[in-house]
Amino acid sequence: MPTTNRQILLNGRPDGEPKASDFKLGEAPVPKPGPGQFLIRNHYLSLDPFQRGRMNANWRYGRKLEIGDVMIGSTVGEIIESNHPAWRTGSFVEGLLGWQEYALHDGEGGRQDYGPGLTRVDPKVAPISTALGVLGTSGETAYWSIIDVAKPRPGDTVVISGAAGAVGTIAGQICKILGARAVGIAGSDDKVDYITRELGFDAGINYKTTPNLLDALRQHCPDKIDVYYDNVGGEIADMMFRHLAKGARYIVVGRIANYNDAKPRLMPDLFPLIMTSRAQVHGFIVFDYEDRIREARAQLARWIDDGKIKYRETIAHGLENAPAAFMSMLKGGNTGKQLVKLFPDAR
Amino acid sequence: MPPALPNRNRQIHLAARPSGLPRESDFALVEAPMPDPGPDEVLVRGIYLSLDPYMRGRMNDRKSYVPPFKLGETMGAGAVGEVVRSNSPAFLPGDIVEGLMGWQDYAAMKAKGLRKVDPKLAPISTAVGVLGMPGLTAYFGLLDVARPKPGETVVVSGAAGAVGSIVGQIAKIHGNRVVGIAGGADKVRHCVEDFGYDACIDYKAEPDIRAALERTCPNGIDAYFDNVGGRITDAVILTINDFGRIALCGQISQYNLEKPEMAPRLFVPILFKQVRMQGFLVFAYADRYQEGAAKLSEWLKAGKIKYRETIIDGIENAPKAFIGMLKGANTGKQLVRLAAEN
Repeated sequence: MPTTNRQILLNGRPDGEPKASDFKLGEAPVPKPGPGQFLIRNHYLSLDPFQRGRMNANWRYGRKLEIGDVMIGSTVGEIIESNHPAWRTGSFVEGLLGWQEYALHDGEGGRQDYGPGLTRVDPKVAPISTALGVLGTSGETAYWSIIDVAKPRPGDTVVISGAAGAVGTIAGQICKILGARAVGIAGSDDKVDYITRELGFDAGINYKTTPNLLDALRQHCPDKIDVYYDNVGGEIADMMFRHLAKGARYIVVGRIANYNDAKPRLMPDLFPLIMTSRAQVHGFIVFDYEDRIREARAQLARWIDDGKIKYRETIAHGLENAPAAFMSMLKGGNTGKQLVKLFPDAR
Repeated sequence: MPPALPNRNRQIHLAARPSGLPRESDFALVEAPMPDPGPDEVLVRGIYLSLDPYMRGRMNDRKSYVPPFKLGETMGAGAVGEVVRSNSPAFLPGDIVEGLMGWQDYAAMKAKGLRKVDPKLAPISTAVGVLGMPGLTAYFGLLDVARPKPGETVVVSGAAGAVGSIVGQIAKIHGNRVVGIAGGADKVRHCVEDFGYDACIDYKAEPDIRAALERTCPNGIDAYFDNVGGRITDAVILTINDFGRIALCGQISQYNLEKPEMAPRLFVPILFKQVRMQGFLVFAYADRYQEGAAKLSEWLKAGKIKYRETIIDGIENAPKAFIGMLKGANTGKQLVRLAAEN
């Protein structure tokens, strides 16, 4: 049995983009499961933009982190020691177990609001890492936000920001399955190539090299934008409001560009454009669909089997490299899901 | 016998495109020949001219949801008037009608562009107020877009205006706690005493709108009917409950600005509170106007809805009244009386 549990702790509150010194590698003894408890060895850690928000002192939504806390994050891992009859050694679980190599659990708690409960993972269905990505929260987010909120009709034009990210890649492919046009915005030519050539997006825009984003939108969306699916926020989002079709839906799924802001940044007031285009703005969080998790996962798994949905993972190795991978992801260094493989022998 | 027709028709033209708040010099009073109605047209003598915030947007040379007014042409507007000559079997002289007659004393109107108004049902001015576009905007915007459930808290900005005052009263009928936001002690008093708001915030006297909202909405805000936009709406977004609904119906605070105001990016709270916000124009409900009008006149007859009008006399005073309305000088519907009712 291992004795040392390595953990990444919150060491400072970032001002803007996080720095390496905002994190600290800590070591704790591997905990011993008490009666009714079991010990999980984490194989993969999920890095997600929402974790950046939790590092702020004034964060108002969900549990805020204190200095010295283990960073919040989902993992998938294997039960290696158990005093609980329903949670057997050798089985795999996914849960909000934090940026650490080992965690104790008692099997209690729901999944609401990234709650403390666990989801069982069947390693025979798909690689276990997908429980954090396409068959986990990222995939569910894409699925329900498109199917239940954005509801693109065949022929509708959907613009997706963060199109090469964990959620954007899946959202775009679901739009294609529904017969809509998918136009992706991403931050490199490689990403644009990936979403258009491999994932079947109708067009891609590299926002870093496009001199005029509005012109590019006019070119790729001649009938304007019916759905703007926003993972990013910031100035990219501001531009969309100038090209919305009547009755457009603006789905706010993420605002990665804004999570580093200590205070809300000032922007041109776009609400009059929302009014004149009769647009709907929806803030979307997947928690509301927790009781329908299975439905989304089953459909996504079928689409993967049918070859209709592809996914990619960007994997860093070793817990000590999680902070660097996280900072890189916030700057768009990942394609698809950003993960950390915690042990060389992880499945 | 109707009074003899004058041979001149007074009109207000757009003389210059305003920069910021319009000035009286942006308008010109012009005398034109009395129009002659063609086939299937009627000549209408205007009685009540409706002044509405959306007209400010049309004074800009910018495409919006309605085309801009042209320089040197009569400003557009809805009005209620009386048919004085008719070349249409659908209307007789003496009929009271409502239609887009523009800022002028008389208009030759296509018969199909007019709606007959029954003067026995309610005062005829209500055809451009509580029983017209503002009332329908309030009805559909609240019940269909903001969709409060009984018992929920509804906040209305522009609470004493033509639309807002009706929204507040419909929300009360619907069983909501209703909090208004208005500018000035008089309006606040009208909101509470006449329109039945549970509370009303005077944004001009209140240093911290967000704190005032937290004080007057102990259970938070579930639905927001927005007529004004700007910093008032920012404060509501920061206070609104999870799953709050916002009907974006007017943005009067922004219409006079040359450039968009720089405002906080509040999409992060919209995301985390899973707010639904919808831009709303009443035209989307054209096929349900009858339903809305029937409900509104039922409530009006039963005394469940009250309305106020701010009336100025004479087409020559319309520009002044319009500028005053953009600054919030009116309570309820702003009208120009063009001629006496018979």
